[in-house]
Amino acid sequence: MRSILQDLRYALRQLRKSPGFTFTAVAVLALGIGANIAVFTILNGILLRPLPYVQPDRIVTVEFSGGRPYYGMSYANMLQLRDAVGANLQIGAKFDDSMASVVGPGGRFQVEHSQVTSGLLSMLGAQPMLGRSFRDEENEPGRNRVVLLGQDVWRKLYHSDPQIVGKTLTIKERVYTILGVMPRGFSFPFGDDMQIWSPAALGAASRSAMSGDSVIVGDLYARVPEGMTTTQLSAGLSRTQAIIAKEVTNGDDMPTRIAATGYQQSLNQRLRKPLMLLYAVVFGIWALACLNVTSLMLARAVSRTREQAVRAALGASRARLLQQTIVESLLLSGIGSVFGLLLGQSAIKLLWRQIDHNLRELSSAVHLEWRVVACLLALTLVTAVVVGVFPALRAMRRNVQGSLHGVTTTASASQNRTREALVVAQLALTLVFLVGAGLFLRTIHALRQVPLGFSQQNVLTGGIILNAGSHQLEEMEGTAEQKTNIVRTDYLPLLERLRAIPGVQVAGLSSVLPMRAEFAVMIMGTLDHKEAPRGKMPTFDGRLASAGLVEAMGIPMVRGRFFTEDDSSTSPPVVVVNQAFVNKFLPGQDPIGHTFGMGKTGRFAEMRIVGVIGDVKQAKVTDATKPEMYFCLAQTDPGTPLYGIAMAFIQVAIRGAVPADSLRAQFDKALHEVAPDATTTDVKTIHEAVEDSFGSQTLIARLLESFAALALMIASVGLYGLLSFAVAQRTREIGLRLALGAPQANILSLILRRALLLVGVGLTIGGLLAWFAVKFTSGYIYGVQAHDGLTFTAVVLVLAAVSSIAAWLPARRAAAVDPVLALRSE
Amino acid sequence: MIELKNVERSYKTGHTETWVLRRIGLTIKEGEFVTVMGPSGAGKSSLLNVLALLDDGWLGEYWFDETPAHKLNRKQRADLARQRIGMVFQSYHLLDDLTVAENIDLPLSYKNLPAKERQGMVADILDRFQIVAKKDLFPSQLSGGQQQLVGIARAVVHAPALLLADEPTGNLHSTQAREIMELFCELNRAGTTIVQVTHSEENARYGKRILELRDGWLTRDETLAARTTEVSAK
Repeated sequence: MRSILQDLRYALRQLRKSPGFTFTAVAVLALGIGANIAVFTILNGILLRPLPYVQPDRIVTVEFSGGRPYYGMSYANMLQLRDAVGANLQIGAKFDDSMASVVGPGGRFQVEHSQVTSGLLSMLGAQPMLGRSFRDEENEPGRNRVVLLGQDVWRKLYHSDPQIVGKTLTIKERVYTILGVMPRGFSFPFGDDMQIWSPAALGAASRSAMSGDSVIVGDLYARVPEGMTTTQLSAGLSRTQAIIAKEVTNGDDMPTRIAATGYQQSLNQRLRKPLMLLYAVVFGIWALACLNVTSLMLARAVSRTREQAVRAALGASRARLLQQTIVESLLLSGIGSVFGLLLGQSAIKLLWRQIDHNLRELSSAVHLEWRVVACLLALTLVTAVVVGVFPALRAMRRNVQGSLHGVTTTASASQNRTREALVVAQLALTLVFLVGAGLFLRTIHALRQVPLGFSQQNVLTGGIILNAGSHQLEEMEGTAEQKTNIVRTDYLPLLERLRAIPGVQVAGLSSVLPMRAEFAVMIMGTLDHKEAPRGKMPTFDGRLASAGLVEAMGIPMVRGRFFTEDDSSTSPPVVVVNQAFVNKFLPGQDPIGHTFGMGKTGRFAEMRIVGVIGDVKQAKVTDATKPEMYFCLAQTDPGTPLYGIAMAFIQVAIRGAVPADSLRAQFDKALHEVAPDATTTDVKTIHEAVEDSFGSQTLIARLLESFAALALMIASVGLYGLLSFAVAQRTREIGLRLALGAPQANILSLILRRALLLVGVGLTIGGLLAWFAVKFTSGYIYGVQAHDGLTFTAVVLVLAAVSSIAAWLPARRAAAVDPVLALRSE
Repeated sequence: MIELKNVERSYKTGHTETWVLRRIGLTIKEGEFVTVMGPSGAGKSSLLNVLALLDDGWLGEYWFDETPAHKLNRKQRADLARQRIGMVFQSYHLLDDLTVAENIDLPLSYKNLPAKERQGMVADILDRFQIVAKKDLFPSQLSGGQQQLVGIARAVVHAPALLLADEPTGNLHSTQAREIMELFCELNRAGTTIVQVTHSEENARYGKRILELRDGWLTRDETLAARTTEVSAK
């Protein structure tokens, strides 16, 4: 122990003595370890960290699979599935979650209100930290006005009031009794914050209704029973479902297959591949940093040969000498890790907007925790061993007597070859990263060039959430007359106010805006009264829209007209379709005048197509536009088939004569004047929405760009370090050559020739590696070939240019060597 | 051939300036064999570096034949040195990775001579120094004396008018040293002007003139023609 402390002191002194070496090694290790820790922090949060439930790996989502994935599962269906498996299958369901604005001693907050079955929490293995959980009878309509608070709601809304149980909370004009508070860290759906839960109203009708007005659909979760696997559960449930589908009237429509998927897997499935790709990249960056520092340590070992020889001559064993080197590399790696941790966490903070957008609800799990620290410690140790052992072993192979007599004061040819191989490896790896980054840059460029079908200039968009009591499940059966018409009370007045804002040219409303496809409704119906079996009816995206939408979004009209102020609840119902709809359902025909019907009677049994709009990119710029039909918002009254959409969610598009960003405040103000309880969500310019739609591609591109720049820097430092060392080592030789009459240009070319040879070999090997490595980018790149000649050429040129600069500096220094000084050893 | 007028050289270390050559005035005629002597730190090597045109930091006048070296820039001095001066070092300074023939070829390679001509010159010198058999060996395969022989061959391969030698026998035993000094005499007789730095009185006697430096000052300038002849006659 004492010897280690002694070595530590000596190592510190040595590092202080060579600030250039120390700074370079620590900086390179910090960058390598920092990149690794940043991505591991994300990877840990998403893939490794267990969900906050008892035996979380046994909790599964149970969904229909195969065709018709949008087909919701009814509560009656869920109960039948459970009964078929047996009493040992614990299930829980969530039927609705909506945002609500609530008020408490802490102020007004937006909360996510989920309506669930009473057994959901016990299935998850969660118990309130205060109060009690739901009882089965609290799912009965009328007895369900109870609520459990999430820890953060309790803290913020009630200042962590310990006497909270029994108090009441008003949610959407309904009074709920607070039953308790869930423990810290608990969330369901996982990752969301500010959550509250109530039992859904599940009457006798909804317990047995597989279809019709009483049916209630939701998301089913289950705990896989002990002794059973997820696959066995899926198979068992599928068998039961096939029987259920047969027994139900019109059961030929009903999905017959069930898939149980691990809940955590269902949350992180889409992120698994990009995260693994990113981790492979940062692992490469770390390897690059290790190669670089190993190369520096090797050079240092050469200059310390005499010191090692003296120690050996004085009786130091090989193990003792090895220990000293390892302590030094451990110190370097430790300091590098501390800075790396800071860098990694700062990088996450810097990129948080994009990370948060890509990870959505899972982003809450991304933070520094013990697994990240353990990974950091392991990485520190491995780094120390990797960068320390090899140079130490090589140094110990030397001839002590020769070193003491100064016979071997320079590096051996094999050591030079080793260091040169390390530089070649660094250049090759860098080229691979640069090619990856280049392909992603070209992808982002190609994505930005895709015609979107709408204008991105000065358009502000945002969602609106109203907090009217009419959202309640139990009111679904109320009559049209009993309900407030939120289109008249809220949306149309809001539109008036938005249009009156100075600087606003036009404003429109729609349930779904391009690139903001947060909400999708599939519509089925008849075209021109042509009856077809349910499965063969035209099916397409249905959207509500107000007059002014196409002008606000800059969408061109292909034929006919869009909705106008004249389209109202008293005028004949009209719809507008997109070009993709015409291409699919009315090819070669003039769509104007054709009719679409929902139901056999009533106003909506015959809606006339009055216009065709150009196709716009809907959710992703890379996807083909699907058929869509716009229904007139002003004609959507309570009781009409699409009123539910209006109640659920509406989005606003405002085109300004001024930059869209400057309209945010007025949008909020206008909304609060119309509906004080309402809130806006995700307000952003349409340009931001388009950029966000690129999803993980932008994040990966950004990260790859940063990592490639990092790799370029590390490799340049490596080449520079190697050549500087070579120049320092060859000072005597260079001095001699100058003394023998070598012109400076000759010395320059002597150093540069070697450097360019290394760069050439590095680029060739890197090019070959990149040629094979690019296959991992398939699925992420768009509008560019994986083996894109331009990217490869540009990357090779960039790397060659940067390497040349890195080589030029030491070469110039070599040419300026003073022969008198160089030969002074005489 | 060489005329130094008031040549001075100093080095700055921190705030102090150390003078290594003080007002050196010196004339060396063509065909002379001059020995520079003096204790360590007297300025012998510094004087040799000035003469070799390796050093740029001196003051005063240096005339090489009719050429005012003190008025030349670094490149012009390097050109002059390349054409007219050869250097022999105490530690031989052969390049480890080059063969004997390649080491000898090194100064020629910096003169833009055709390869064939260079090969001929190298072959001549190998023959003259009787080291043809060793032409493909590397320095590490030679004895110290042989290495210095190669060093001298390299210094004279381009037939310099002035040969400068800094302690040429400092690392050799006496027999090898004597052979090297005989070689210098032979070269001198053939017309090469030689300036050697040495601590050895015996080696000094091979020359025709002794210069002695002390603390940078030229303190002795003595012609030894008769004694040199006597030594070489032995």
